[in-house]
Amino acid sequence: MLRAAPKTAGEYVPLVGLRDVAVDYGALRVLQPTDLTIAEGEFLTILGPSGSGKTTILKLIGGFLSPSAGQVSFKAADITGLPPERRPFNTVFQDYALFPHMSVAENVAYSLRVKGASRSERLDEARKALELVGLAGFGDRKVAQLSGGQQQRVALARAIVAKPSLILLDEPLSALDAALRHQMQSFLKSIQRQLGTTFVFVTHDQQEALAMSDRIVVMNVGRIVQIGSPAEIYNDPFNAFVATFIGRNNLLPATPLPEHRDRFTTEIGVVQARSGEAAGVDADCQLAIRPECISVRRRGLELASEQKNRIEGVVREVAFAGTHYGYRVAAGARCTVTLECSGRHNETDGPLSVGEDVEMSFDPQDTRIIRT
Amino acid sequence: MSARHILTYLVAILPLGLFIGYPLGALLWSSVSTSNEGAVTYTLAFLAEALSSPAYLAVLGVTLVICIATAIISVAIALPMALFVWSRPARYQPIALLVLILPMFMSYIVKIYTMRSLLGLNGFFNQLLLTTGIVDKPTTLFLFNRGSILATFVVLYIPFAALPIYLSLERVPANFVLAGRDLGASYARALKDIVLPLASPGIVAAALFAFILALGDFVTPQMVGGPSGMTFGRIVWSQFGLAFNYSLGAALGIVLLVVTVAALAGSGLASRALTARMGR
Amino acid sequence: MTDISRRGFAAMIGAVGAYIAAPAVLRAQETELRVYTWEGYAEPEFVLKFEAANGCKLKLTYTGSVDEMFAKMQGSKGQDFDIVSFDTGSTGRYVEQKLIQPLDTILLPGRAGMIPVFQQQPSLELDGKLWGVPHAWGSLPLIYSKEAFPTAPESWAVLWDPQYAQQVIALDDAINNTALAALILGFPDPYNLTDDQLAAVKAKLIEIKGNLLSYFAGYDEGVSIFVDNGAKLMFAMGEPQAKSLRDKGADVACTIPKEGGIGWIDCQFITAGAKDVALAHKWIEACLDRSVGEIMSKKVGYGNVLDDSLNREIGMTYADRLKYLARPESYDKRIKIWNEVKAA
Repeated sequence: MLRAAPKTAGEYVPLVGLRDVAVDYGALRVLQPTDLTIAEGEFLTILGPSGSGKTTILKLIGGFLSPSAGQVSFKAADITGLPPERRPFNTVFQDYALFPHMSVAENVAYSLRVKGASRSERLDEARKALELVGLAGFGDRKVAQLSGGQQQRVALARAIVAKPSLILLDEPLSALDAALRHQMQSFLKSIQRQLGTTFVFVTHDQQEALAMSDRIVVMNVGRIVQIGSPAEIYNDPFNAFVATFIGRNNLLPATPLPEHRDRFTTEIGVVQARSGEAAGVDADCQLAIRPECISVRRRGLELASEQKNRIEGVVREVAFAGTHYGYRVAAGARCTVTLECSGRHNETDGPLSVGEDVEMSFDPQDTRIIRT
Repeated sequence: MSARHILTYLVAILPLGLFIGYPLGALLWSSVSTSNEGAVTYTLAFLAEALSSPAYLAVLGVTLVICIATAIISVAIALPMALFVWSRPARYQPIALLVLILPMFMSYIVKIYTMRSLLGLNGFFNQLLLTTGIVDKPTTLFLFNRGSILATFVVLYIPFAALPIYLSLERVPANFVLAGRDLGASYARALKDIVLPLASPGIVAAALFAFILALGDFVTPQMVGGPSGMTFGRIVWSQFGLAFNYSLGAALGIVLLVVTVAALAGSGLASRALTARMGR
Repeated sequence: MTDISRRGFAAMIGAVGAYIAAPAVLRAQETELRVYTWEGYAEPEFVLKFEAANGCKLKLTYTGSVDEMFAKMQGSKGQDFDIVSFDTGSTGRYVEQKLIQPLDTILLPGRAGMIPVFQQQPSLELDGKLWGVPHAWGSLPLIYSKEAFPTAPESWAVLWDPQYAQQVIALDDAINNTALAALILGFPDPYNLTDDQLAAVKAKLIEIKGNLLSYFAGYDEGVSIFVDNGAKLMFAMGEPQAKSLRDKGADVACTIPKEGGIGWIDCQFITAGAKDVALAHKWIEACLDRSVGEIMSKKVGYGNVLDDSLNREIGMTYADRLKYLARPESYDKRIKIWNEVKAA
């Protein structure tokens, strides 16, 4: 069952590729022509809101859907017309699709039964797969007797038992409650590491994507918007959609100052952005500052660190979130800035309250330019 | 028990007693009693006659064979039809289902006449055979024999078989076939391993419907069966409708009832066994 | 419910009740004769005349079958109707169940003009009393294709002739089939057979099955099977079937072969529960008028009980060669034999 250690970073072997793949439903194009390469051994997450085309990509890889145009390949082979049963991939379905008339072990071993494996081999492999997912001894139970989390594990065991080249996971955690979801995230990640199998994970939950993935594919309205590691996606969002869909961001409409290509006029005054990044930006754009990158203090107190960008404002909302406080601060005439004060940033001498005058500051390094 | 509870029970039990218990009781009572000028005598002679007459038993045998064949053939035809409807996109399913069960709303007699004109000497099949030159003279092989009873039963009862199959298919999540194929099974294999076991209660119900409807049908055999159109239902009917021998009619009716109940019980067991076995 | 609304409710129920009851009350003022009969036996031509002459109203109820009629009569013990019309073969049953009452011959002078065979029908005279008066008759003839038979078949035996395999149809009825077989076998009383004779009848009826295309269960059913399947011979339910067949383009004729045939006589009876017995007698007497018989013979095609010239006109010249339906020695035995024949 156990495989070699996962491929080390940089060792990039293409496993599955989509080339100019598009999908139409009648006159409606649900997937614009798309290119995507999935590397062997990676945990790739396809992230996007509903209707973004993420499940369409999953179906294309799984063979549940034929593209209207383009090509799907596996290693060097064209598998565009190959039916799902002939692709070496297995899927964990959103609702698990466990077969209620079969026991847990029969469910897990079903793919082996189809392949004609002997009963003893099937039982043996099912037992190993169930052990791996932490359900040793559950083989004889009925599916209906299991909890949601246990069913999830059975579905995973069923998908891995035949040692597929790739496992597709279609929002498998969406039916679980928050605590169980977090637990399953790290569990899935660790299984993937152990097996070294390529996982393609579809979700609309950005936190899930950030926590689990080697790479994230962000999709919106039938297109791939950005592909990158979680850090890249988080830190360098390609556009306003990515900036706001993954994590939270303050977006400020901005106009570059002539001769100072990293300085911009905004509603809250002149703001300096990350240097060098602005090269080529002449037109209006947006500046993105994450809430946790903004420091705040009561007006009149000294800021601990001198940062170049400073704004004044009035606290409008206060929300305690356990690890931090969240504030919404009115700055300028029409602009509201969201910020978070965790231990590191809290230089306010105790939590602020609504109506207090504050001064906020943020580093140009944390100020990203978003092209519109 | 509160007054409301009692009322609920009454509402549930009263019609049951009135429409099922009472006729059943009357049937049982008739089968063991006979009245002459108001004097009632009790006897098991009628039941004995019903069970011992070689002629009746022979007809019962033939009837059972025809009805079992009806059940099997109806299911064999209804199953692919129901699967077809079930595999349509959800929004087309209601209309497809309607087409499937539309014949249910047609008059039973009209359908029998239609079958007769299809199978008759001047009917569609004979015309077809004549036109294609397979025969040079119309044949009476299609009509007025046991085969035509079977064919008409099947045509009549396919919708009644298709409906329960579809209803049980409808409870099978649509992605189970995909899940099966994802795990390497062909479409046919996924149907066999996953969908059919889960739909087996509906399949058994379908067979049962076709069987019981055919068993009780005494019009079709008469109309298309010709000289061999004698079925057990007709014997029962003849005792009530012609001989006014209610006691023997009731006794024969009891035999029919026992067969029906046995079929019900058998199908219950079959359903459970089938689901369990096909899952392995 | 408040007191007022309860009173209102009661008043409403009362009003509804009165509304429903009203027409019945009004109707009761006019004398009504309730006649339970067959279509064709109460044509408006003579019904209206009778109503006008007697200041009454006929309430006609038609039956679909002999069995329905008997069941309905039995259900109400004859209270729902004044006049009922059925064939001679059923008289015994009705008398036994006390559903009909004896007739007063003084009130029926028209009987004197009847053809003798109908005037003196033993099956209508039980316990020394007269129970019914015939008003139409017919036979269960052999209908044959004139194309296949340029001259009428002489014997019923033609039905058994293997030459006509799959071209023969027969009505599906226990009493008629057993009686016909008895006639052909030469038994003197086809309605009163010994067990040995019944066994012979059974064998004879099983023998015909190889020739039979199908049995038929109704008048139109017989016509349609005959036409749709090119049958040549039919043990028919009645002469009118030949007319229907000709209407459908089949060139057929009726015959009563040399062995004779089965006949039926439909008679009118007065029920045990008749309200106006005198009026009921008047109706039966009115039906014995020549004009009534003429309408029934010419319009509907039934045999006439009064005037043989009318019968000759429509080709029904064999009234005295028929064995008219009578109560068989045992319904049970005949049904059993018939079931066994069909199951064979």
